[in-house]
Amino acid sequence: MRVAAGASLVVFAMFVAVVATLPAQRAAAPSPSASTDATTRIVGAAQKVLSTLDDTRRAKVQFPFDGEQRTRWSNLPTGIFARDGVRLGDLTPPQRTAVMSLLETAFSASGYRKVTEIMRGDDMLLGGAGRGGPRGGGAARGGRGPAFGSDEYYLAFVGPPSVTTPWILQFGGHHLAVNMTFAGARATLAPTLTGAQPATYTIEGRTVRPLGQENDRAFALMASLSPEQQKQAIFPYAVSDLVLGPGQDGRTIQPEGLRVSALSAAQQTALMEIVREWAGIANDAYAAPRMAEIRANLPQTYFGWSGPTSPGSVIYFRIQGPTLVIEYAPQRDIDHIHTIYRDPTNDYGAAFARK
Amino acid sequence: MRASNVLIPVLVVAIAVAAGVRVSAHRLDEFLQAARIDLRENGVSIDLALTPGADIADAIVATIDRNSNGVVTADEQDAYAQDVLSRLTATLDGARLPLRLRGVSFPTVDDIRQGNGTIRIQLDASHSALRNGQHQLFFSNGHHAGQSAYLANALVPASSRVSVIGQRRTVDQRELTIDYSVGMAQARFASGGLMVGLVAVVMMVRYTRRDGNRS
Repeated sequence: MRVAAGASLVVFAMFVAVVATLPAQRAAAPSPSASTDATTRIVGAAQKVLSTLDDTRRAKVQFPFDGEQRTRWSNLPTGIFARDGVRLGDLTPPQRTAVMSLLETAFSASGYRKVTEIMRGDDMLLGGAGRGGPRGGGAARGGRGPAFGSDEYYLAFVGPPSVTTPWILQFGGHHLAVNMTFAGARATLAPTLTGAQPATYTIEGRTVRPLGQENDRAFALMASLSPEQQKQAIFPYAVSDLVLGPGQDGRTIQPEGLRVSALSAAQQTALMEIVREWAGIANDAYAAPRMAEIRANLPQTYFGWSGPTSPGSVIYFRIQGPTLVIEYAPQRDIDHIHTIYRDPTNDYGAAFARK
Repeated sequence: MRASNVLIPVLVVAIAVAAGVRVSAHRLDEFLQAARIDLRENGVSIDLALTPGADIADAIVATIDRNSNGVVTADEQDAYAQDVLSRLTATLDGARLPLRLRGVSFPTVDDIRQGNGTIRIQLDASHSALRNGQHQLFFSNGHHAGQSAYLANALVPASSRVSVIGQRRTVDQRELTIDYSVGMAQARFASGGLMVGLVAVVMMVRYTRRDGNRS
């Protein structure tokens, strides 16, 4: 009798264990109708881009899904890193409008603003803004120096745009590499790199900080931590660059820092708002299920920090969970920032292919 | 907790960062050296990614392209990799761990000069299968010390029987000590709920057995 009762308890405990994992699985499921509609609109916008191009450019913009182009991206400017695809500066105004309309459809309003602000920042860099200035030196190094400005961003379709089969919308240039993989109603932005230099600029009397929210929200979260939490979060060593930047596909580093499960509900919400600055670049139809998935994994997520906690300091931070890696890495200067957003389980839609 | 416990690492890191401050568009005047370490029960793999900044690239190229013909030959690649290897130190549980060159890939000289060339060196060390329990790997990179920025990280081990317990680094990440364990399969990023459930299962089994022994 006792053995039977014990066995029942064991079965019950296993049931609890299995049920406890269900929210994460449920949260990962997209809202089918919203995302299907979004994919249909995005594919339509992509096909409109194709319809504006002549045969030569149409051939230049398209790549096979399983080819090398999928992983060819960089934070570096043109001239140092040679991109393939169609260059914005080579397009006619209607063609360029079609490309920007595609981006506006694929991204959320805030995501589109962020991307365009990064590009405008590069225009500023071209004009000599940013304390580092456009350190080209191309001529001195053999005439292959860096080229800056919003003309130097490239669009590529890796796989034909489709509402059913996988394809990647690849858009990038200096400090920007968006790799948005679609598979039917699902989409992922991983891996995507954002960056900024100058990180602050003024245009038409307005101060623009393309990655300002990422920075400010992170400092606010740090300020909310108790000394004990800060001690766990802060790495006692300098992190001078992205650990999982370009060329580091398929690697998962050992997570370090403060376990997010130790944070209060309000602090966890604040952390999710930091995450949204990356995950929320995508159209809301894809960002919502992605945010739910990340939130479900918060108990296994870590927040790490290197540098002072006072706003305005040069710092590095990392958020890492089972399906997420975010790194924010100023380049020795708060006016020059690199960031990366990855999903170790779904970079380039790898998980979509498995399902 | 005393505030100084938080402030000390922050100040040390801030000083380290400030010491290298010179505004630049990219990491022009430093040699970025990233080590990613993969631990196994019977060996260690280390991937080194070495990216010289454009301002120091000519000096680095001169040490690699020894005949200055603008091409890095297989012999020159091997010689450079061996030189890097000679400046690395690895120990396992306090005993020297000999590293072996497994592979090298070089960008073009032009790419290195542009600051866009990453030299990749793969290293291996084999050892007999570790006994169950805790172990410690120490790694030190002395290549091009003084003008380099270092990153050093343990990867999540592929085997569930190997798990990283902790990592300790010098402030500049030139040295990394990894404490890890070999033994019972570990769940990486396991669901908290699943872990709670498994613990409950173990406790129930123990309870049942203890109760059974009493009767």
